Amino acid sequence: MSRRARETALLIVLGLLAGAGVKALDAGTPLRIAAGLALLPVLPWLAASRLGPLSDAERPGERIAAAGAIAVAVAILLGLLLTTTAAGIETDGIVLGMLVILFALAVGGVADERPIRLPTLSGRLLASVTMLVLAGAIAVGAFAIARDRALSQARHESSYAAFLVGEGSRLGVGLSNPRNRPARFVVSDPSTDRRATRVIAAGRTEILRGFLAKPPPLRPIQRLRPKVAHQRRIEVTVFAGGHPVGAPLELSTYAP
Amino acid sequence: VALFLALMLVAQALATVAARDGHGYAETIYWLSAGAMVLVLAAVQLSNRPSSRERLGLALALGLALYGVKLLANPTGFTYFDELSHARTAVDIANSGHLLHANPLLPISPYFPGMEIVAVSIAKLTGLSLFASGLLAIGAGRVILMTALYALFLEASDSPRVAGLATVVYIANPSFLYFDAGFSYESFALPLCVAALVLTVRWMKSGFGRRSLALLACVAIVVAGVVPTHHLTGYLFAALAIALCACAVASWSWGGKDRAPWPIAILAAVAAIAWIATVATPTYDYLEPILRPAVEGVANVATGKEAAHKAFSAAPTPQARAPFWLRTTAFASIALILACLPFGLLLAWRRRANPAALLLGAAAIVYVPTLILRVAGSGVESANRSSGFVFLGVGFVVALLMAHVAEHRSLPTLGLGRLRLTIGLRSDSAVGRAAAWGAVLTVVTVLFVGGVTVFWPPYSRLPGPYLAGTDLRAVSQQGISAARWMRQDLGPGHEVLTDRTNGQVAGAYGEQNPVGGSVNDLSIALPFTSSDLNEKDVKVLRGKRVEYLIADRRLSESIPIRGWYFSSSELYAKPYRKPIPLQKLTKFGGIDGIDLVYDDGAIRIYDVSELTRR
Repeated sequence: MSRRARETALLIVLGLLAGAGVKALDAGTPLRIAAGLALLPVLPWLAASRLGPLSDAERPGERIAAAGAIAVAVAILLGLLLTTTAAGIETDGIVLGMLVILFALAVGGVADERPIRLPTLSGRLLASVTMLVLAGAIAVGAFAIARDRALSQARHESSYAAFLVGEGSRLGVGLSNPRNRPARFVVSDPSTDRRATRVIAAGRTEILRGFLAKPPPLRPIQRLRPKVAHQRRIEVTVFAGGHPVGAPLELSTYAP
Repeated sequence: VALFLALMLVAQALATVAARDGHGYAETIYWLSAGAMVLVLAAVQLSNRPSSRERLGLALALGLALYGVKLLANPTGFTYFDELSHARTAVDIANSGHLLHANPLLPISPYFPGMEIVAVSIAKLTGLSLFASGLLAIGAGRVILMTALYALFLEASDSPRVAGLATVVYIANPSFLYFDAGFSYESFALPLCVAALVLTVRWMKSGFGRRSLALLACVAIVVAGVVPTHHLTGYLFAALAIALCACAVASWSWGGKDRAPWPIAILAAVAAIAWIATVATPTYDYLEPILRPAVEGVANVATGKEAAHKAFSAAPTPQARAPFWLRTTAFASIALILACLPFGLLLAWRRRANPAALLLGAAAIVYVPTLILRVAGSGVESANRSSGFVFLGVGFVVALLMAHVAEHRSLPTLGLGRLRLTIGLRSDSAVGRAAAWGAVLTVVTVLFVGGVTVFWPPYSRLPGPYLAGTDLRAVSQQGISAARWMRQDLGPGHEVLTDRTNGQVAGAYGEQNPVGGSVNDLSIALPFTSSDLNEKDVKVLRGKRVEYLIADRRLSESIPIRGWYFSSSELYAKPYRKPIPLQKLTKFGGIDGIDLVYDDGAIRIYDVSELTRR
């Protein structure tokens, strides 16, 4: 079996494995991510670099850049093509399309005339590889530091929220606790002295159903010249650890 | 070098942590570590030791490390104005599987969906979020860009040292660090464009026959990817291909043998025109209001009808203004490029038999007109955006000069008739060599620091607490949570009126349609800036068919750093000296037809649909 045929077969087999992985594995798992990235862009990139006009590039960088650009461009063209189908850009279509592209690129590729020279194992090579791995690990660590602090800022900014929910002729009051410990929400309607209390678990949202009446629609003249109406104001006080957190939240509707 | 870059990334990460904690020294860490990356890489590229492949690796490492700088500042989600605009297009494609959904954040974006198609495809294949998929797509673009740049500069200079240095000078362009690393169509189209140029130059050297046809097919595929990705990049590639034809023809007089890439130029022009004519029909209407004022602004400044734009001093608030040392460095970077251009162009001229060198020299000359654009306020944005292309030339000619200075310890001799101008050190000693190297490395560092400063105001380089009237620093978790609540509980596609940043967030994360501009001569800011809801406010709300108002109470805590909160139409009013009072922002409760439907302490959402219903 020639070197060209071996490389072609290997690319196709890897592509089929990646396609099967995308279909069979759960979204977001490491193996699924690896399979997905193999289909786009890694394997097409590799296959494109074997194309005749690119494989004999003499200048460093030419082959990587051109092959990468071709892999990305064919992905764009595939996407445009898929959007003309009823299903549009969907996983099945992308997998099938990328496999066809990979097959075409792999078959169209030629074997590099230069012999494969594996680097001889030396202290310098080992040191270089170790340094590169270490650098990669440090860069990932840097990203983890920055991301952790960004997430802690996001958590700090996450606020308890109250909102109105339409329920036919009534309005419910939604209560959201995005923090990481339970909170007690006290919902009160000062105009009727009505009061309700709910303890909401961390990261949960609950709705007090039908808490107040929904106002009737406005007459056309009222829409043109809005006036201050009789306000139905709802106050939501949030307690965490037994203490009120910030100023009460407000919701309101009108009673023309 | 990789280890050093990784350690500098750790310093960058610590700078972002310090910035989020509000420590002033974060800026110092930021500049020291970013500057050190560029300085050290420039020093290694300047030396004679690395092989050509090693120089390619160094260029790639620097490009990726600087991409890391951008990621570390915003590691959890899309935050830049353009990123949010394109995220909306990506979300629409991911949800529907189809193209050309109206995008209220950037109406032209759906007509150029190349980047979003790739990001959505990666998301569907891997199950990753659109944010992570976008990062991977732009990261792949960065690899293509750096390798293509090195190949192009090597082709033009035939010197690995010049090519390596040119990549370092290129990254000093104002848009490289953040803008061209963001999830926006230009960031993705630029690498494809440079790769297409590399292939074109290769085609020019190929003989006739099957190999030539195969190369032409490769270029055609890449061009077919560029055209539906970004409008201006597609047109610029066509223009560059035509210019390359002219350069090839001219080079024949000086011994050049490369053929002119007419088929590629025609192909690129036809593809770009066909896309506008058949799909992206609103492109002209989008570009004309951006480009025309830039040109008219320059003409108005030239004829005295308009005052010249004062860089930095025109910043509306002190926070938007860079400190003195950075402003000085920014001006110095421009002065240094202008000073380097004649000498670098002379060196490029010596390579005039090479069409690629001629093309890059011509691109470097374009730097001067882009500086002229900066004299008009309306031209600054166009000048900044063009830097990714113009620096292809600037990087090349400045690197030619740097390599020359490092080697000869003198500037090339400029001559006019019998007049000769030679500037340099006669000393061949180690001190002379060190002085030449020191000069080169200082120039590279100044170009980088100045380039970043020219484009990015201080508040946008590092993350931190909420700042009203900024794009990046006004994207907060409260805004994102409110937007997600809207999508989940109210459904997508409602017309919302809010400040600029919350509008972008509502559009990208909440799939809502923020309204902008004005109604006749009434700014959309009016409903939030009047003391009581009056007839003019209602006219604005009804004119824009607003269904929800999103009032961010934090707007009442500081004046807008950028000068305005809602829309540039506010600029016709007096500049803000005090923040908008909280009462004006939250006056809507209790008015007939208005419900306060959401409150999280910072953000309140008012339902005004009953009021504006027709």
